[in-house]
Amino acid sequence: MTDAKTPKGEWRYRAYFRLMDASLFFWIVLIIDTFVSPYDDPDTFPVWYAVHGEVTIFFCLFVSLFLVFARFMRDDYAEGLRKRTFVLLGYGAVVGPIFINIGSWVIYYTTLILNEPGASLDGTVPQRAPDYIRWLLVNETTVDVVLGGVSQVFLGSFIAIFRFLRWKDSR
Amino acid sequence: MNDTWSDQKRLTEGRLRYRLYFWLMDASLVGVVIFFASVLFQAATGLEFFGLPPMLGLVSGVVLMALIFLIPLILIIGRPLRDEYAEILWRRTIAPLVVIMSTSPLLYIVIGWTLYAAQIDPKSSAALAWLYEQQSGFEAISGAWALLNMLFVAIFQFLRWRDSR
Repeated sequence: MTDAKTPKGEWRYRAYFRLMDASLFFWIVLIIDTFVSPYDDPDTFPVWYAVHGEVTIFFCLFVSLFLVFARFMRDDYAEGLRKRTFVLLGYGAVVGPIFINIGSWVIYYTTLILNEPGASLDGTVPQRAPDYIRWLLVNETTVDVVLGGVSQVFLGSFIAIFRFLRWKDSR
Repeated sequence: MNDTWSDQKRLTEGRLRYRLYFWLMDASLVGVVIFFASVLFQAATGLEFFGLPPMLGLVSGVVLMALIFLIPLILIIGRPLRDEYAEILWRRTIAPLVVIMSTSPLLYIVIGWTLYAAQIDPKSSAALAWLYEQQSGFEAISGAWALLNMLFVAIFQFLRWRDSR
């Protein structure tokens, strides 16, 4: 991750990669934070945690989005990387949901059969189903949250795939 | 002689394959147009599938699902079906697609803030209420996926049409 070839040229070309690195860092922070958040209630956030949240959102939403658009900050190499990233994103965006959906049904029926032998497989959600399966099968989410999630997945994947391709090139 | 013949055969097959790609693309576009027409029709009159009788509605629904789910999937993944021109079009299609999918929530945030500033409850407006409908994650993922497929077909055909002018 450290040894990537530093592109020569104007500062804005180098800044593009620096911003990309920073975004990736905050994406990792965001993902870790999703799973092990030290605080749950917004009313009891200490100041540093609130600031950390703002900075993370700034990088994961606005900087990532900016990096998708910022053609003037990409040199030829970065533009080529962007195109290769988009190709992978295109395939991933179509194949990913199929695996998520099929996978969730498989997990769902496996947990159902393991937990409650002889249960009727009529599509009712078992009480002991894991939380992520409940989210997939029960009407608990709204369209606006979904739209936000879709964009987050795209932006996060863009940063991650771009960085991965650059790392692979540098080896 | 034999070689020439098999070359010829391969070439013809290739052409068929490549032409098939555009035929499927056209069929899918028809499906997308009918789908949106039926959504608009339902919004206007409250009748599903243009008020067709149940059996006919079911059959046309299944055909429509194939046209807007299955065929775009084949069209996006099916690299062997694309000749060089189609492959370039594919790449040009993906760029706006990714941009749209990553920008759409920003649009939503702006709408939300505007409504908040104007002190309007978005749930009171029929045009916006669908944003706040409860869904399961499964439905949500499938919906976003279908949207992506249909956008792909629409953008691809638009670029193709613009090229042909």
